[in-house]
Amino acid sequence: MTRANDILAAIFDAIDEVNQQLPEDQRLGKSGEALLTPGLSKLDSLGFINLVVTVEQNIQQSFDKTITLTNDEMFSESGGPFGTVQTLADHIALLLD
Amino acid sequence: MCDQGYKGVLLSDFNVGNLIGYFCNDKGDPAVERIIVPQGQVIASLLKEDLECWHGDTDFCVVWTRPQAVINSFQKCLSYQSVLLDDILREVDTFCSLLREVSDRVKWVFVPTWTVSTHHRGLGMLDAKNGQGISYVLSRMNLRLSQNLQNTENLYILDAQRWVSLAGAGAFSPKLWYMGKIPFGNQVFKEAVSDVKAALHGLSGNARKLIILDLDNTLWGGIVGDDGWENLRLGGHDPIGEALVDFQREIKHLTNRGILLGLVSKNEESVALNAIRKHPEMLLRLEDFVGWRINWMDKAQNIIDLVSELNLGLQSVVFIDDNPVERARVKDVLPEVMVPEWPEDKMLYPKTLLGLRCFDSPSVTAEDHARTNMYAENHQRGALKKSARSLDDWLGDLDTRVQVEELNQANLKRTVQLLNKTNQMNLRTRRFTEQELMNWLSTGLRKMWTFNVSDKFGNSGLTGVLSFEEEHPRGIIADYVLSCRVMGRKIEDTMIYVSIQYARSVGLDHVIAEYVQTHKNGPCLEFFKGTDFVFNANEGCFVWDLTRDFPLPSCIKIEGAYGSEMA
Repeated sequence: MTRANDILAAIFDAIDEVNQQLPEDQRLGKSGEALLTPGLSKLDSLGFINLVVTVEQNIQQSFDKTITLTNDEMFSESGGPFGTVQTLADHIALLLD
Repeated sequence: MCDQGYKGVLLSDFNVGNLIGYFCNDKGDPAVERIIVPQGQVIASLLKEDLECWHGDTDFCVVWTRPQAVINSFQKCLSYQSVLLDDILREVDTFCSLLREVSDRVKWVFVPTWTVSTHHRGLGMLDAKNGQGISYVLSRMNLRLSQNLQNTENLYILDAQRWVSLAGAGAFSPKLWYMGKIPFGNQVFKEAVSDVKAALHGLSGNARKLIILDLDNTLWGGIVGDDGWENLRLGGHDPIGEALVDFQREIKHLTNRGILLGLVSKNEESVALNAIRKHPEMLLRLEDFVGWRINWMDKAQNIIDLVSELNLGLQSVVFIDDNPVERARVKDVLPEVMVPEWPEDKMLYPKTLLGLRCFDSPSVTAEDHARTNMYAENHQRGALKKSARSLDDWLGDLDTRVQVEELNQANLKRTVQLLNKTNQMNLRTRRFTEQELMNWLSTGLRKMWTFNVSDKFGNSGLTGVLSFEEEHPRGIIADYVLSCRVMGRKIEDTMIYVSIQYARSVGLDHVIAEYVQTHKNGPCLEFFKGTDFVFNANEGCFVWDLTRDFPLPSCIKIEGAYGSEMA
């Protein structure tokens, strides 16, 4: 439970960071259901790249482990693991195992 | 893209989306309303004078490039090919000539120095030594950039290497580069935004001028009233004591930039002053402070009193106190005062002070260096005022002399600084760069006088500026600016006297002064209301009929050639 919370905290911190660059009406919410995929969420592709790279950095800092989220799947139509905050958190948990 | 405030142009060879986001969302003053990023290459944008972004109301431009993108021969250097340093520097010269052209199109230009990714080790041990090493060549390029542009008065080179250092390991992001053509990590952009905004703040005349300090656990460790001055933590073989001495040293250094120091402390005044006088490790002495309020009263009220005594505005003040309750109180009651968050750890005091951007100012003049002395002289004037029989007696006793000069190369820098920094006694609060001022003066029948004030206690320096336009049959006081250092000493009247005498000598009928209200220049309105100028409500300006004389205050002597002309 603690690890799941820590993963969510790392994603939320990344959302805070990316929100600092966005106009108020384009900012992401901090909930498990918040959509992340460009086109489905408020993020454009630049914001999405920023978010994913920042999540990678935050996970590295929190868990002292390097994970790679940046891959071709990022921009797939389904969104893959990047659909929502919760699916991303679940994906990160798998990568950390 | 963003809402209100300054308008800027960003020229870069990389994706500046993140940078723009931080510019627009940063809550600190001043606000940035709009950032335009022209399409196309940097060099092309620099060359094309007819681009829309160069026309209209753009305030500033940031030209931030990667060195390998704009200096072709540096690309060879990066790939360890042999290249002559002179060839690289010639390309730098060409790039600088383009930057100079941009400086004619906008008010201010900011050019971050060139950096290369810290992941690039270059030639390793030879990189800084060898004439071909990347870090060696880059430092020469940045030096050349700085030298070439040092006389371009509205162009400022910003130290991007410091942003990179502050950002640490995340300064360069390969992932952001390959996925988004963003070379830097976000912390670098945040530092850049803070520095550009600090520069805009300073250029607009809003740099902070006065630090008001607490004493106990701020300037020294411990409570002097409880512990006694002999037992305070300050200096000695003690990390905290050493840090506090360093903190005092850095504060003292700021006085060389023209920053004034004051004290507001809850203490018995005699006990606190005794500690300042007697503690052998105190670097700051009473003569370093332009004033103090040491008592048991509310600190916010004490700050108001002290600032009023110094003829400064609250927007000039930074308040430093270790106590979060006192900080919260001052923040709440005096929102104009800057109250930085202060660390609990005293070893972080010097670092926190050195990181403050609120003192950034576009120039440091001789007047800045001497400012503390001038305020000390003001203290002596104040003492004389208390003993004098009346205001006129006091002014007479001061033996005030005013030297009037027309604007010239020698006084141009200080004049522009005064025009851009003065808020209270300022008729229209017009801000100028040196070039803009010279351009304005070169058209029509326009004049600008400067006023140097001295008295028996010392020289207050160039503290007044008045510009005048002839539009026969009327004359217009276009700028009327007086430093708060000499306000209330009849210099105000002397400046008007000079302009009225001139207007009569060239056969004008009347002189007008249009007051443009800001939220800071109420004192100027009060001055004009207190004169015999007539307020013309239709034209919204004060009018002086030149059939009437405007007398020179009896306590003032005008000196120099201009004085005899006036006489």
